[in-house]
Amino acid sequence: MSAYLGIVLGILGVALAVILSGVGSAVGVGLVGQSAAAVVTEDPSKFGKVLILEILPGTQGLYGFLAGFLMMNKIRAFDYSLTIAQGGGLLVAGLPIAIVGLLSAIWQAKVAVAGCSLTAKQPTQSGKAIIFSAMVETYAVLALLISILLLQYVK
Amino acid sequence: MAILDMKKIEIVALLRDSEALIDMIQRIGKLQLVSVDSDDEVLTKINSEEICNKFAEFQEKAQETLKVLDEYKPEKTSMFSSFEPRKEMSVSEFTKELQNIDEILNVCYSILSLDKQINDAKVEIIRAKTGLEIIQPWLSLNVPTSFTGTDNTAVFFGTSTTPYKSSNDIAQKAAQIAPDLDCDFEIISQTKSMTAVAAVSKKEDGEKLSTLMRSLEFTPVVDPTRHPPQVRHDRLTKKIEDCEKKIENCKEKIQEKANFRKEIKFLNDCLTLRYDKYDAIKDMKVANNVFIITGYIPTKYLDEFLNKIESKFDIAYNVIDPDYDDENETVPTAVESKALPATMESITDMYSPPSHKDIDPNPIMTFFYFMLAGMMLGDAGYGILMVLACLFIKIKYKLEPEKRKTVNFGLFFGIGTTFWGMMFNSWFGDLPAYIAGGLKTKAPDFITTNHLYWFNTLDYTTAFLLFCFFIGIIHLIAGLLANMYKMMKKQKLYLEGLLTNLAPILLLIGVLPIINSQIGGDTLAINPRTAFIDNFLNDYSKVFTIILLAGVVLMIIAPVLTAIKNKEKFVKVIAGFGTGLNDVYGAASGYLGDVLSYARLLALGLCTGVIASVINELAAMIGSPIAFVIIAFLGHTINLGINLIGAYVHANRLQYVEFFGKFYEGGGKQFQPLRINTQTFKIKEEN
Repeated sequence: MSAYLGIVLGILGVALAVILSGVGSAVGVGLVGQSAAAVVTEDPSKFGKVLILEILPGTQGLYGFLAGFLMMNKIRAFDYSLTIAQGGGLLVAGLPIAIVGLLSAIWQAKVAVAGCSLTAKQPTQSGKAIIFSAMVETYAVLALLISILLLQYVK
Repeated sequence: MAILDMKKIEIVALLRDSEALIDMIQRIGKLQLVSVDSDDEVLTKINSEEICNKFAEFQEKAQETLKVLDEYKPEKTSMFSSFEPRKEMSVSEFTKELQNIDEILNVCYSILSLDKQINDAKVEIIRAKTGLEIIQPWLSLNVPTSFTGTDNTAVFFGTSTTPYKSSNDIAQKAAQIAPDLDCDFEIISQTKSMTAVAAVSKKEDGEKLSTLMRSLEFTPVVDPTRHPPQVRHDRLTKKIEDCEKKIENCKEKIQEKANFRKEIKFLNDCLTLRYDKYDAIKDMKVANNVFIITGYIPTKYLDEFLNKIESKFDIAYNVIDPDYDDENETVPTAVESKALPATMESITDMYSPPSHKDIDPNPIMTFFYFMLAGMMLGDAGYGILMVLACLFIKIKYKLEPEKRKTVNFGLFFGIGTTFWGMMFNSWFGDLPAYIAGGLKTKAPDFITTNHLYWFNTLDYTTAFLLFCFFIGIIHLIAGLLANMYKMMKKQKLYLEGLLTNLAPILLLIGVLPIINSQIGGDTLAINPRTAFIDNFLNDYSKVFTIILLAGVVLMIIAPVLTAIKNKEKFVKVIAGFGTGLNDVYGAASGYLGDVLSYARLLALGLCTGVIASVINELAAMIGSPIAFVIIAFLGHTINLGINLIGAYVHANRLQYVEFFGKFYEGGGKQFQPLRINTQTFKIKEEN
C-alpha cells in the first residue's frame, strides 16, 4: 500500500491543480459570457471588446494546466515511483495555484461582468474595464509562481 | 512624432461664403471648431439642430436599408476585404455624384417599403396559421360552425380538453348532470389533448343544452365560420400561399436593387459629411453680413491652412496662443507619430489620450510593448505566421493610414514573438522534434542536440523567472527616466526631477544581485548559457552594493535638498528626513510589487509553449502523419488565438499600471477636426 501512496499523492496533486483552477475558469468565463452576450444583443459591434473581457478569467485554467504539466514532468523524472514525501510534496506544491486559481478566476469574472456594463455604456473606456479585471489576476500569477518554485524543492 | 503645439484661431468671413468656407475647412480637415459663449448681443448663433436631425433621420434610413440588403443579399467579402483602400474621388466627380442623392434616397425608401411588405406578409401568415389550427378539428363538418340548428333542433359545437373515448362516455356524463334532457352527441374529431363534439337537442332545449355543455367544460367554437369549415380552410391556405409568393416577390425585388448597395453606402457617407458640417455650423456666430468661427489647429498646419483659405475667400483672422494651464479651456491634443510609434496610439488612447502636460509616451513604449508582448506569446512558429500574414496584407493592399497602424502592430508583435521564440526554442512548441521523428513520434534528443537557442525555459524555469524580473526592472527604469525627462522638460523641475527619479533607479539597479541570490540561488550559475549574468552580478557585487546604498541615501536626503532649494524653514528641512525614510519604505514595498508583477511574462510565456507541446503530443498519438497535420493545425490555431489575446491584454496591463504609473497622466481631449469622415470614398487633394 505505502509503496503506491507516493504516486497516488503526486497524481492527486496534478488533478487538484488542474481541476480547481479549471473549475474556477469555467465558472468565470461562463459568468462573463452571459453578460457579454447581453451586451452583444444590444450592439454586435462590441463583440471584440467584450470577448477580451470574457477570456480574461480563462487564464487561471491555463496556469493550473501549466502547473499540472510541470508536476507530471516531475513524476516522469522520478520514473513513476515516488516516496510519500515526494508525492505529498507535489500535492502541496500544487495547492497555491489550485485554490487561488479557483477563487481569483471567479472574482476576476465578477469584475469583468461589471466591465461589460461599463463597455456597454462607455465603449471608449473598455481599456479601463480590462485593467480592473486584469488586476485580480496578479494574485493567480503570484500563486503560480510559488507553485513552480515549490516544485523545485521536491527532490 | 510628438504631441503637437496648438494654436487657437478666430476667423471672420462674409456670410455669403459661409457654406463654401465650411466645405473647404472640412476638406482640409485640420481645424477643430469650438463653440465660444459670449454675451455679445450683436452676435447670434445659427440654429442648425433641425437640419442636423433631418440628416440623422435620413442616415438612419440608409443604414437600415443596408441592413435589409445584408439580410436578403449578403455581400460577398473576402477575409481581408476590410483592408481594401477607399475609392478616391475628385471634387468634381463628387459633386456630380451628389446630384443623384435624392434618387438613391428614393431607392432606400422603396427597399424599406418592400421590407415592410415582407414583414407584414409574415405577420399575415402567422395569423392565417393560427386560424387553420382553430379550424382543424372541424374540417369534416359539412355545415358551418356557426350553425345553431334546424327548425326543430338545436346544435352546440364545442371542444373539451377532457379525453372522451366515445360519444357514449359524453352521454353518460351528461345524463348524470341533466337526466331529463334529451340529447345526442357526435365526436367530430379527436386528438390526445382535445375532443371536438357536436351536441344536438330539441329546439326548445337549446338553452339547457348549452348550459349542460358548459358545465361539462366544453368551450364553444371560437370565431365560428359562415360556410362549412373546409371553405375557410381553403381560403386560409390560399392566403398563406399568396403571402409566401408575395414575400418571394418582394425578396426578388430587393435583390434586384442590391446593386445599389455601393450608391447607398455613398449616400450614407454623404449624410455623415453633411451632418458633421451642419453640426459644426452650430458653433458659428453671425452678425449682419459676417460670421465668426473659432477653432484649434496644430501650429505646423496653420500657415498652409491660412494660405489655402485666403486664396479663395476674403477673411480676417486672429491667431491666439492657447492657455494650456487654464482649467476652463481644454486644449485638444493632437499626436503625430512615425510609423513605428504610431502603432501604440490606440493602446495609449485606450488608457487615456495624452494631455498637454504629458510627454508623448508612444516612442518609448513601442520597444517595450513588443518585447513584453512577444515574450508572453513567445513562439517563433506563431510569430512567423503573424509576420507572414501582415506582410501579405501590406503587399497586397494599398493601406490607409489607420489600417496601416493595425497591420504594423501585428507585424511588430509577430517579430517580437519570433525573436523570443528563437531565444527560448519554441517553434510551435516542440514541433521540430516531431518533424525529425517523421510526424509520428518525437525524436528524443533532437532539441538538446540542436543548439540554436539561448536556453530552454521549461528546464530552467527559475532562470527564466529571474530573467523576467530583470526585464521588468529595465522597463521600470525606462518609466522613471521618462518621468525625469517629463519633469525637467514640461515642469522645469530640474532638481526634483533628478532626485525623485534617480533614487529609485539606483535602488532598482542595486537590488539585482540580491534578487539573483535570494530568488534564483545557483540557477543562473548551473546553466553555462546563463552563467555570464551570474558572473557579472557576482564580479561587480561591491559596485551594486554601493549603488544600492547611494539610492537609499539619496532617497532619504532628497526631500531635505528640495526643502533647502525652496528655502523652506529649518523645521521643514529637518522634517524632510522623515519624509525620506517613509519614501524608502514606500519604494521598497511598491517596487517589490511592481517587479513581481512581471512574473506574468513567465506564466503566459510558458503557457503558450506547454500547450503547443501538448497539442503536438496529442497529434502524434494516432501515429499517422496526415492525422498529425490535421490535429496540429486545429490545435495550434486555437492556442494562437487564446494566447494572442492573453499576451495583448497583459502587455497592456504592464504598460498601463507599471509603466504609465511612473510618468503618464493622460486625461487629454482628443483632437477631432472637422473633416471628411467617410467609409467608402475619399476626396482627392486638389491643388
